[in-house]
Amino acid sequence: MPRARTVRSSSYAAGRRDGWREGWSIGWREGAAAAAAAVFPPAVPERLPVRVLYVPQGFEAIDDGMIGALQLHAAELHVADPTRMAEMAALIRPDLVLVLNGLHVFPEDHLEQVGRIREMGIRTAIWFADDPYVTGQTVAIAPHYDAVVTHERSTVELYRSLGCAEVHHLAFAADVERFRPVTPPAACRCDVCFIGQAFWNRVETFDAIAEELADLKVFIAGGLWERLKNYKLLKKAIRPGWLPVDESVLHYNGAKIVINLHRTAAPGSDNANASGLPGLSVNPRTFEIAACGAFQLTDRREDLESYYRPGLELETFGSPAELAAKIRHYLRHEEERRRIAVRGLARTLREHTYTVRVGSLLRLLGYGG
Amino acid sequence: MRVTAAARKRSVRSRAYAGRYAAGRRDGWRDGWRDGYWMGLCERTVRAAETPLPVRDVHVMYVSTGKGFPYSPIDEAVAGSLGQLVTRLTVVERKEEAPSAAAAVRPDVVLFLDGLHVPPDIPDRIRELGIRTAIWFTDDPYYTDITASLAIHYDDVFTLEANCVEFYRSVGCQRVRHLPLGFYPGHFRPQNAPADMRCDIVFVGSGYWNRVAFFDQLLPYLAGRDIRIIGYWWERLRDYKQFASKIEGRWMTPQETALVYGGAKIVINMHREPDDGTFNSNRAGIGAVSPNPRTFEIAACASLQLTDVRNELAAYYVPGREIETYASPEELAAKIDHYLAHADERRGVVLNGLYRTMRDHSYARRLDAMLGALFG
Repeated sequence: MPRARTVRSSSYAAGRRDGWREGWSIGWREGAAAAAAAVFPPAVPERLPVRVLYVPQGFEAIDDGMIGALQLHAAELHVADPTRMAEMAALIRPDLVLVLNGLHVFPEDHLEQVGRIREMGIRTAIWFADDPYVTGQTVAIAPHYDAVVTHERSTVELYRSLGCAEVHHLAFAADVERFRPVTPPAACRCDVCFIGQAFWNRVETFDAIAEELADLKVFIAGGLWERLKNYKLLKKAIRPGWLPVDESVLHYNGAKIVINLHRTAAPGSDNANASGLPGLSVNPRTFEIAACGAFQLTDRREDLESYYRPGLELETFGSPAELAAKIRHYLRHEEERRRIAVRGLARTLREHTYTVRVGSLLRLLGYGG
Repeated sequence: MRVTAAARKRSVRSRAYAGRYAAGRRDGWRDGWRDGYWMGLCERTVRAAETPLPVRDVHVMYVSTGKGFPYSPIDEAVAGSLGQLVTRLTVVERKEEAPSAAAAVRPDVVLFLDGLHVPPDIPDRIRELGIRTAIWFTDDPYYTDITASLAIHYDDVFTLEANCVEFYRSVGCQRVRHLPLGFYPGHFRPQNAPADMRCDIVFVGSGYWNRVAFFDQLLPYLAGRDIRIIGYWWERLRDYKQFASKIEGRWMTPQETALVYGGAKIVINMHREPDDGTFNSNRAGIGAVSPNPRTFEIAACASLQLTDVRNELAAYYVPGREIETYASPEELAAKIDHYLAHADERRGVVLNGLYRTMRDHSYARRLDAMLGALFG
């Protein structure tokens, strides 16, 4: 039956052609990203004459990056649990006690401990990672430290107005040991991926594009997504609850498009933004997605262009309609998509690693020599 | 609704169609991913090796070798690369017109390539105009009988063969420098070769006697291997009949050669002997220590190169890290076996070699060195 054979082989051939094209594009990104990461061996910075006691927040993606980078930069590094920071400082007598964020897991006597450390003549600095969303709490903490660093530019003036003598703005970065290009297992591959809590502004956006997403292979991870009006439509795509960081790396790597949508700074909406200050700066996730060599589609924050060139190193959207249109566009334009992704990775490896950032931090704090 | 037999048949058929389509898609995806991953690695490695070269404010006149129409590959490579390095480039197609063209536009230098077929009165007439002339000998030491008498007609002599520098000085040339050839990224770069151009092992080149003798010993080791030999004169092989199906006696354009290199896992490079009797004018018996241009071209196409050793090779590539070498048919056969079995190791050497090639061995980089020697 020659005719049947033709149909059989042509359907196989058509599948092969389509599969090859998609596989090529995805493979190209993974290969190019692997090469980009390989040709940017982490720089070995010059050691600065400062002994640091670092107090982690329990944000493993940031803490590990900070600790790794401080080990390269500082003459000596010790890490202390928040409950014992004063005790450790008394034993070690560092030049600087550097605290990350100072919320959540920090004990009730956190500020008394800071006071005791300063009485020992040891300098203290805190780097806030959740501004402006938690300014209701941070305003009570900041004045107890010698130096305040915030990743949110809009809050610098707030801390100054409280009488803080030394306030700096410094963005976070990506831990490129953890967030890196990998070839993910097939189960982690999808068209569109979003990882994060379903804050109300995110719910609105995803409700608006739910129909668009319903035809695609989507992966959404995080809590509270049952808030969606279109929950049923996207239920299949949602993995409820917190996703371990190392799994998020696989999903960023497996997605053709990774969405980044900052939480809203509007006071009272899922936050403790008592100051009512806007969010001008980008979240750490911006750097983490880019560090995986993933194609990132992010909402626009005022500071974004200081870190990445939109249209070249990532893409942006200003409305749900624009988000939906760009998802459609970039799923069709594979070459454009993968080149942007790899350029974003290269920029990250050059400028947005913790090694680079901690160097800037120590210089801001006056240890640059 | 009643389901007719025909409709049922249609639905079965369409399910079968979908199944075959899905199977094809799976296979295609796997192959596409593999090819794409490799090209992604290669292209990014090329990008990482790119370093900008200065543009010099000089006017160079390049006299095309006139060996091909419209441009022979080497003319295209040199003219194409020079164009990126100088503010003004004039290309003269016919060597006879070079003196009048030079008189008309007064370039800072007139550059000839090869020069075997350029009558000495042409550079003489240009020098009489007070215009500097330079020649780059690209076939040394194989034609030194002829080039010896030509070289003294030029102000500056460049030779690809380090061993020939002293030779030209001894015949009276004042300024002689060693300048190896390179590769032209417009011709040789990593590409995704179509399936029918892929094989495990390839050799491209003519069957000079030294090569024939070597392959007579090598081929028995490779009897079951997927090998191709492309070039003239291979009917000289002892076991020609046995291997005839793997041999194609033809010439290829650089573009096709690049695809053949890129489609092979391993490319063999074997230099000509300086005393090869086939087509040679080297009575002075000058040895050869510099690698041939093919060394760079193979490496630029991102295939594993197994080359015989020329003394100077280590100045261009780190053996074992950026290239592999052999000294005997047995060693070549053993290394072929090894690198076919150890794909990751092979790809590692290839990428290191590709990076080195793109960074250091392009025609543009060589010509930048030439311009530096000429103009500082």
